[in-house]
Amino acid sequence: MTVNFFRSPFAPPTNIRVMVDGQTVLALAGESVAAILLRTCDGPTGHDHAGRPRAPYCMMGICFECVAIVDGAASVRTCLIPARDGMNIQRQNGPYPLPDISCQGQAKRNG
Amino acid sequence: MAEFFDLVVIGAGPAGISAALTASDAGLHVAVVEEHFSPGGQVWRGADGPAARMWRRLPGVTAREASRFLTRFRHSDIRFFSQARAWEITSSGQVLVTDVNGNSFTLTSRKIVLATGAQERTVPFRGWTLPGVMTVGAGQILLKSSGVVPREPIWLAGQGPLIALYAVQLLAAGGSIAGILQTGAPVSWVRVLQTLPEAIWQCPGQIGKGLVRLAKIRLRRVRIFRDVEKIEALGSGKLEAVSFTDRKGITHHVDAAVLMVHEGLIPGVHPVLAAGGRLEWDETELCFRPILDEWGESTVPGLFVAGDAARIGGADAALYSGALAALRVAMQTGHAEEKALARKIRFHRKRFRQAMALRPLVTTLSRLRLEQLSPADDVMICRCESVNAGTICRASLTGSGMPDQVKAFTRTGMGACQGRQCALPLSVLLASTHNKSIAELGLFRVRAPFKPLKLGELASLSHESDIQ
Ligand code: FES
Repeated sequence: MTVNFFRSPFAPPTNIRVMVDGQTVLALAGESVAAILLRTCDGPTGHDHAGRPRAPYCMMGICFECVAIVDGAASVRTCLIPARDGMNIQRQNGPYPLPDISCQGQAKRNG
Repeated sequence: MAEFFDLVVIGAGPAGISAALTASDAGLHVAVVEEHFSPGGQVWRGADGPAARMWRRLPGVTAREASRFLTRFRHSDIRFFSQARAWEITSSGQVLVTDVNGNSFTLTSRKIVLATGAQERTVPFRGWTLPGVMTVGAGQILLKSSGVVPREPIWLAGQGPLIALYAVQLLAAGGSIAGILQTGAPVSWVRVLQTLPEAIWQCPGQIGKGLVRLAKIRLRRVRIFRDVEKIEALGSGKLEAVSFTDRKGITHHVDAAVLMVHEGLIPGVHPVLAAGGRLEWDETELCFRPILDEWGESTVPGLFVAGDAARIGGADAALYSGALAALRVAMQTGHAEEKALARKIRFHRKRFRQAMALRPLVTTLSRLRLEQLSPADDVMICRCESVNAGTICRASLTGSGMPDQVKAFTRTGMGACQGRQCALPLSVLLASTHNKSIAELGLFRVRAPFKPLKLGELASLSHESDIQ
């Protein structure tokens, strides 16, 4: 696996752990989640609704190519999210998962 | 519950911070809404981030200015809503905002300053959606905010001062560059001679810094190709190679891990459009920008635009235009009289003009070739909805050929980015297909919510907020 981004030799040492698709990754508190995805993923950091490989493009909240599921919230722009210890990041592939708001879902939740 | 303010500023870059501080000094009750988690905009991005120590040592960063403004901002009594999306501006001066937890609320304000900044001009080319391709601005933000650099071989392509700035910053941060591909129209030396004296007179420091950057790039023996055309990003699943044609017409095929592109900056016009403000086409800068009076007030009374969102001029110009908008707001809201502010106004106007004096030279040295915006049929124009140029051209022939109709026919601009990237390429493409002027076509309509909004977020608006 070759990732296309790495930490600059002058960047401060990593100080937190996050999960990316179930794998533990060392990270820097306050770096953007998109930066973690870029230096963890071999190429695509996600796929669009048609299944095409995508990765962060603008890093400033304009393009929405960096969306992922962060701590259960889908379609968040990871370039605007600071990394925190214990964060759970999942790549988003294909159509955005919708919350289960069906009657059965409600019934299940209410026991 | 709606909160009341004299001024709501959207965007916490230099223009927004300067406007907020100036207004707050004049006694106004001010709120600032910012999408990012820290203030500073893209120019000061990283100033108080985790890699701040590295950031301060990068060439070209304005550390002293950043800390001066950010410290003042932090210690002011300005209400700061970070990680908050403003998505509607109503005609009665309400700003609808959603925070990071998905809670929506209303800020009611007498005046509004949009300081939402610039975006990089989108110039679609074959393969530009491949992972490994990103903008130079994105690369710079990655470096400054997170201390991350690309793996070799790195290619930079496009034109404009940001490329040289990022190149020297990347070299200083331990990266290396395989080559720079310069695109753009041939430089008119007559125009250079016309614009150079004023630029040297007003901004000698800036020109000096630019020359030093170019010399540093030369020293590191970075390969530079001029008058490059037909750039293509190649690879399956991710970028593997770049091909391009040089000035002699020879086609090159080079290995690449990362390709960063930059074709200049344009004002981000979505918020002002959604609020009902009118735009004009700027033929020299090749972009749309809001129609504003000398204070930055748009065609919507009480709605101001400052900084790069108004007109590209960089951080210094943004500081002064933000202050000027705030001074005007202070007068309009009765917090100050024009006479009392006369000296401040003269000072900011003068500094603003000085800061803008460099711009004519910059646009002379780096100007887009319009053909760059007429891509081949198979080039994707709308990244979000995957619509290519051919589909757009065909759809435009069956109807009026106006941007709104083509959007409805093809979904161009209906995706998550709401057309922030494809709006201008679409209008340019339609203009050339139908032989119309871009000014006449305009951009497609932008409506609230001008940032994507989940239904739950909309529903969370409190009932008392009483939207009109
Ligand atoms: S990378 Fe463009 S929105 Fe995050």
